[in-house]
Amino acid sequence: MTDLYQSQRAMRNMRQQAMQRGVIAVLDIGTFKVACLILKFGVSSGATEGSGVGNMAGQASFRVIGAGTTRSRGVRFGEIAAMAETERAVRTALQTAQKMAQVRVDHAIVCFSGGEARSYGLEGAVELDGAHVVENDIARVLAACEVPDLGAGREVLHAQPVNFMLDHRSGLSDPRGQAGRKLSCDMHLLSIDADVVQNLVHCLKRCDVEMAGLAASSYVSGLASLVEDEQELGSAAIDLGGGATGLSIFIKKHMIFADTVRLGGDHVTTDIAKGLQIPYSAAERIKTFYGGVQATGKDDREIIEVGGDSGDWDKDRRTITRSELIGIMRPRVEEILEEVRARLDAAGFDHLPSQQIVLTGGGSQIPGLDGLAARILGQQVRLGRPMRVQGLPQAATGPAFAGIVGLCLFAAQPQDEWWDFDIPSDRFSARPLRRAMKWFRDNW
Amino acid sequence: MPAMSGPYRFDPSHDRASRHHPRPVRPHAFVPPSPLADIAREPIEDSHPAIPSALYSWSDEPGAAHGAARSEQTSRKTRRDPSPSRLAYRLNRLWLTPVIRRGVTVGAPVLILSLSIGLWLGDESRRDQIATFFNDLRTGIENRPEFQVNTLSVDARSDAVAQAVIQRLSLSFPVSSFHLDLPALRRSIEALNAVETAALRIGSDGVLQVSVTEREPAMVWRHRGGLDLVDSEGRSIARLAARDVRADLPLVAGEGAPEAMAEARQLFDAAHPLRDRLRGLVRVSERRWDVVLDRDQRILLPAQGAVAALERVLALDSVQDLLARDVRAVDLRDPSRPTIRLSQTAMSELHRIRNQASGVSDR
Repeated sequence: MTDLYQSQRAMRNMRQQAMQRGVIAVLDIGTFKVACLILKFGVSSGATEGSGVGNMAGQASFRVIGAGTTRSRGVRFGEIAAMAETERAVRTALQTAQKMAQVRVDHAIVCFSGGEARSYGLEGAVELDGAHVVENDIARVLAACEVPDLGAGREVLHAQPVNFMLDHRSGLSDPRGQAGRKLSCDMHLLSIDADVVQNLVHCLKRCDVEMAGLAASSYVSGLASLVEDEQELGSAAIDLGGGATGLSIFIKKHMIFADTVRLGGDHVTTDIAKGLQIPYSAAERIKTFYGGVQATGKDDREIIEVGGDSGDWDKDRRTITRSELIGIMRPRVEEILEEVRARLDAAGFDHLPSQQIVLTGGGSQIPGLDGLAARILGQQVRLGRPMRVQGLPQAATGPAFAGIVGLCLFAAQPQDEWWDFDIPSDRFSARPLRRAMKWFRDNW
Repeated sequence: MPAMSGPYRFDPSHDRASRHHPRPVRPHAFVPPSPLADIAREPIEDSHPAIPSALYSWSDEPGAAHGAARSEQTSRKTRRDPSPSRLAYRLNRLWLTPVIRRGVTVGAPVLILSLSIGLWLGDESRRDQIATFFNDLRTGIENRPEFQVNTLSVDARSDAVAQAVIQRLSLSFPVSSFHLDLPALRRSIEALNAVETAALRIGSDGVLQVSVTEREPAMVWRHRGGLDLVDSEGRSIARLAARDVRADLPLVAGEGAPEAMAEARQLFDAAHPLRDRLRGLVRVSERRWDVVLDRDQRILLPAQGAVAALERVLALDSVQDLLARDVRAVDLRDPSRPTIRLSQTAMSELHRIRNQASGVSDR
């Protein structure tokens, strides 16, 4: 645990260093695409105080100066399956972005959807030493949280304090300086498969880039696609990606639950390819041009040429109707949404005061998806696009880029995590001098 | 498999229609473009308009996960892997490093240029060759007829001065105007006593024109070494063989006389009524003046207020004919006590008259 604490702190320091230097890359390693943005910090300090505009989640403090997107290779379910292939894809994206930005980046913040993220809610409580809550008390109460057994080979990816309670008063976001006796906190912990992270780190190292941060893509796409009210009142962001569908639940501007369904748009494409006996690339094209989930009478009359290059004239001249295509796609999309529904139910999403659901990610562009999702997930469903950040190319403003835009926001204004607080001084073993002094004071 | 059993697949009429029209109007041409179009990957036509942005760099090489596309790929011409090789990637990153970039774009050319020039100049004979070349070029330009000076012309009032100037310059013609240092020549000419100012000019016809303004002699100064002509500022211009040569000029004598030339001039002006009798002025102890008249008469003037004292004597003279009498000297050195020195005969005559008046016998 201390090892991870140290490595996360090291990553945090690296991020701060890179931001002081002014340039950092954010990298979304997905199943469908690898996207890279290069952010330049310090171009403007954002809105001035008293201008009536908030800090806009920090996105005014940076500017995108380089962007590169390439088709992902060697990634399945958001996890690296073929390291050399993935490395090539990351290199392509990084080089494109670097060429556009005309600057070299050495640090990258990465998000990914694999690794079977699991959420845990932790709580801890301590008695205050003094009359007021001080910094050290926060560290102590965070350290007092009982960490569950994460399982073998799993690591903590996010550990964010989401709520503080002082005596009987709950819902405090910052209890420092307040009077009370007993401080307790709720913490949201997201665990992840350590090997998946190790593979990512290794892959980035092979691209000569150091990892300066790590985030779950379900979390960052929620950051980008949920508006402030939705984050405050309670909502779920569903990131329909290529190989995995991430979902994250936000309330009071904190993520309280995240999970992934290992199903995505790639499975829809594979279904089409299998059903029509056409190559994967042709299936992808047919899906993007003619795909849908709601069949109407007009779709029966809409003929799609399947195409192909097999050399068999009859096979290559086949045609299907659009309703047939919908007939292939819809069961798979329904399956994904049912799976999401099950995860949301397991997380107790129906107990939240507001049950807004936002669909984002590349898969959310299927026409008619909002109607289908409303039938499965509940009435309050909307399609979400990522918020705008300065300098983002037009081609990267679609919902498929929610993850990477959220990662920009994450880089600009990271939420407090457990490792952002110092270890409470009574447990701190790294300062033997102070302990020796304490021993002397106690014993002499 | 719904797609395999579609009605159009086995419809013979449709089949025939498509045979008659090898490129039928595609049905999707009537469908508004799908919002998914902007993320379309792998278009079958190469020039698909749905991908407008250079942001996308989809590769044709399928990923390991998409092995299904490989069969289609191999039938087509295989394309290069769009991803940069490790070396290309590293070189690109190196190129984007500011230090390296500046070193390659600025440092290396400068280094190579300076090194090659240095090596080329390392050879002694080559350096000499270059020096000779430039020297030849220089002399070639200097010796052009446009820059040659052939004659010297001196404008001076007297021939003696002109001769002295020519002698002083001692130039051997023809000479290039680049080799003539006119200010230095001017200084050397002005170092001559007789010359007040000189102006040198090289004319376009190759003539060095020297215009000399000579000093104006104002007085003759007699001193231990002989006679000198001096100008109004006391600077000596030339030796004088005899006083008679310039009898028109007033005469001063004594050490330090040229230094007090202004006062001397005032005194000469003041002594105008005595001009027939005036022999000259004598500077005594470099301090004060004596006015010397004929008959060995002297007027001894004080160091301060000499002109006023002289005017006083002249006033006495005009009233009492003082200087016409047998007086050896009028001493005004102490202005409060003017004294008259009589000659021996005048003195004895005075004694005699006094004794006569007082009735004392003539001894």
